[in-house]
Amino acid sequence: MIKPFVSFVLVLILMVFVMGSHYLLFPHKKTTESMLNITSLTHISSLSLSLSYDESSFNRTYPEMPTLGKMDFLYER
Amino acid sequence: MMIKIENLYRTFHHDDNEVPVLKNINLNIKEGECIVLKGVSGSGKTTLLSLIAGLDKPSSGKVLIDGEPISKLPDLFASELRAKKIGMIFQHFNLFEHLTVHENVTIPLIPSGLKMKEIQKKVDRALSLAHISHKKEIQAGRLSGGEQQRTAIARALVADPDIILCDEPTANLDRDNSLLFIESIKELNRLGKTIVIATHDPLFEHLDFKSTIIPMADGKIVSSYDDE
Amino acid sequence: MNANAFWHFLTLQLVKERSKHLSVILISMMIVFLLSSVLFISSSIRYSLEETLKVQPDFVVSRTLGGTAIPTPMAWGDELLEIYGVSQVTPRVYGRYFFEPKGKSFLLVGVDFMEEQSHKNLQALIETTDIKAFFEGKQMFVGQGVKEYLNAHFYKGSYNFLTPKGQFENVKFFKTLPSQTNLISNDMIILPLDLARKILGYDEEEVTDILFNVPNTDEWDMMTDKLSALHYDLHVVNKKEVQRSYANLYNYKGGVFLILFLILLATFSLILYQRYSMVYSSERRHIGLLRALGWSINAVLRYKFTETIVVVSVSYILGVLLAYFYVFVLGAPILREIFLGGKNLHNIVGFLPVLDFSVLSSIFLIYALPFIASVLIPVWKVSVTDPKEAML
Ligand SMILES: Nc1ncnc2c1ncn2[C@@H]1O[C@H](COP(=O)(O)OP(=O)(O)O)[C@@H](O)[C@H]1O
Ligand SMILES: [Mg+2]
Repeated sequence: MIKPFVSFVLVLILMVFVMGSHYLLFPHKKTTESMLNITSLTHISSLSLSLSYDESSFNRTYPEMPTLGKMDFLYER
Repeated sequence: MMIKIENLYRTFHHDDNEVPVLKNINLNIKEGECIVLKGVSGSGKTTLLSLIAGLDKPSSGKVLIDGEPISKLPDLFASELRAKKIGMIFQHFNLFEHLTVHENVTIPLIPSGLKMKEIQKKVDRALSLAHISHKKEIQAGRLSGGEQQRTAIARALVADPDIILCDEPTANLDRDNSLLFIESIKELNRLGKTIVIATHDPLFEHLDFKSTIIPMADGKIVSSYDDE
Repeated sequence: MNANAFWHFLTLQLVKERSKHLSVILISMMIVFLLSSVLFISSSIRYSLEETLKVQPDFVVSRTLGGTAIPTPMAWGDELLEIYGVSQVTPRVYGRYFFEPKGKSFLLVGVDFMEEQSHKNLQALIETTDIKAFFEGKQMFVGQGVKEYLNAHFYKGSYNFLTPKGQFENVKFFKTLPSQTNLISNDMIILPLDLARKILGYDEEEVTDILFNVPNTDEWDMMTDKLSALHYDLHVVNKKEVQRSYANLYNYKGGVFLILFLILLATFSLILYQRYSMVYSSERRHIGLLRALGWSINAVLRYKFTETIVVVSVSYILGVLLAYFYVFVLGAPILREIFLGGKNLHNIVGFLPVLDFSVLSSIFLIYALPFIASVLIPVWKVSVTDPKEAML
C-alpha cells in the first residue's frame, strides 16, 4: 500500500475509534435510569413530541396513542 | 521455432456478412529474428499480431509459441505465457497517463507474484535499457511522443520476454524519434529478442541490421521469404 | 499474485485516480448517511421507548362521555382494588395546559410527593435537591423545553397559570428536569397533585385516569370484560394494545423507509449506470490493456473487485461515521424536527446512542450488493471477451 492511502486508512480508523469511544463512554445506564425514574415518577411514558396538540383529535380507541389521522408520520402525536 | 503459424484464418461476422480478414497465413519465425510485417492499412497486420499474442481467437488454424498453442490454452495459461514471453508495443503507446513512467513499467509484473523489491529492480533495468531512467518520476501523460514510446519499450521489456510485438510503433512519432526507435529495436535484436513489427512506415524497409520483410495485402502474405 | 505488489498497485491507482472515484464515493456516502441517520434516530427512539414501556402499567381505565375523555372518579380505584388479581392501582392527574398567546402547550403532571416511591425517584433524578424546600410554597419542576420557552417569554422565576375558575396560580420554577430525560420530559411540568388538579380543573375526588397491573397475563382478556361490566362509561386499554399500536407504528415506519430507500436506490443505480456507461469505453481499453500486458482474467477481476470493495467500504464507513456524529453528537438538526416535530416547543432532545449492528449490516448489504454488481458485471463482460481493443 502506498503512503497516502495508508494515512487515509489510519484517519478512517481513528475516526471509527473516536466513534467507538463516544459510544462506549456514553453514560447509557445513567440516561436509561433517568428515563425510568421520570416514567415511574409521573407514570407517563409517551414521548414528548413537539406537535401542536389538538384535543379534538383524541384517539378514542387508544388514548395513549396518536390519533389515526395523525399517524401519517412516525411518532406523531 | 519461436513462433509458428499454421493455416491461420480469421473471419469477422458483421450482421450476416462474413468478413475474412486473415486468409490462410503460414509463417515460421525463428528465435532472434526480426520480422517486419508490411502492408497498407486494413491488410490485417493488427489482427495477426493479436492472434500471435493470444488476444484474439483464430477462426481456424493455430499459433504456436515455443510449441505451445496460445490460442487454444485456457485464459490463465495463455495469460501466463503472454506475461512471460511476449512484450507488446502499441501505436498509441497505451500508457496509464496519470501514473509515472516508473509506475507504468511495473504493471506487467504486478500479477507475477514477485516481491515489490524484485519488481523495482527489474523496472530499473528495463528503464535504463529503454533510455528513459531520467524521466522515471514524470507522469506519463506529460511526456513527449518519443519518451512515451520509450516508456512503452521499457514496459514491454520489463518481464524480460523473448518476443516483442510492435504494432505501428512509429505511426505517432516524428522522423527523429522513429529513427531512435529503430535504434532501440536494433539493440533489442542484438540482445537476442525475437521481434515482430507491423508497420507501413517506409523507414523499416532498409534497416541496417538483419531483418525480414513480409509484405501483407488483403489478409494474405503476398510472397514470403521465410520458407526454407 | 503477491499481495504486496497487488495492493501497492491498487492503492496507487485509487489515489492517483481519486477524481474518478470521488463523485461515486460522495454520492454513496450521502445515501449511507441519510439511511443510517434515519435508522439511528429511529432505533434510538425505539430503544428508549421500549425501555420505558417496560415500566408501563398493564391497564389504563378512564371515563368517557360521548367518546370524549372526562374526569374519572377516584372511587373507581377502590372498586378496581377489589377485583381479584389487580395490583398497583395508581391514579394519574395530567393534561395539556395551553400557553395561550402562541397556542403552545405543556404537559402538566400532578405527582403525589408524599409517596415514598416518588421521593426515591425524585432524589435519583435531581441529585442535589433538598426536597423539603420544594414544599415551601407553590413550586414545580419543568422540562428543558418548557424552561427555554418560558424564559424566552420573560417568565424567569415563576409562571402564572390560569385555572378554569378564572383565578391565577403563581407557581415558582424549582428545578429543571435533567436533559437526559428530554425525550419524555421536554414539554413536561411536574407539580404537586392538588395544584395540578386546581390548574387542570379537577375536583378533589377526580383524576384523569387510573393505572393498574394484572401480573397474570392469562387473566387480561377476562379482566377487560369484567371492567367493562363495572361501568357503562368506563374505557379500558391494555398494554398489549398499546404495544401492538407501537408495533404497527414501527411497521408503518418500516414501510416508509422501504419506500424512501427504494427511491434512493433507484437514483443511485441511475447515477452508477450513467457513470459506467460514460467510462465504459475507457474502462474497456484499460482492461484490454491490462490483459495485453499479461494480466489474466482472474487478475483483472480480482483487481476490479478489490477496488470496488474499497470504494464501497470507504463510502460506507464515512457515511456511517457522519451519521453517527450528526445524530448522536449534533443531535440531528433538521431531521429531528421530522421525527419529533417542531410545532410545539423547541425540542432539545439528545438521542441515546444505539448501534444496532443488524441494521448496520443490512444497510451495508443492501447498499453494497447492487453497487458491486453494477460495477463488476460490465467489468466481467469486458474481461472475458478477447481484448483486441487494446491494440486499436
Ligand atoms: N473486430 C472486428 N470486427 C470486424 N472487422 C474487423 C475487426 N477488427 C478488424 N476488422 C477488419 O479487419 C481488417 C484488418 O484490420 P487490421 O488487422 O486492423 O488491419 P491493419 O492493422 O493492417 O490496418 C480491416 O478491414 C478491419 O476493418
Ligand atoms: Mg493496425
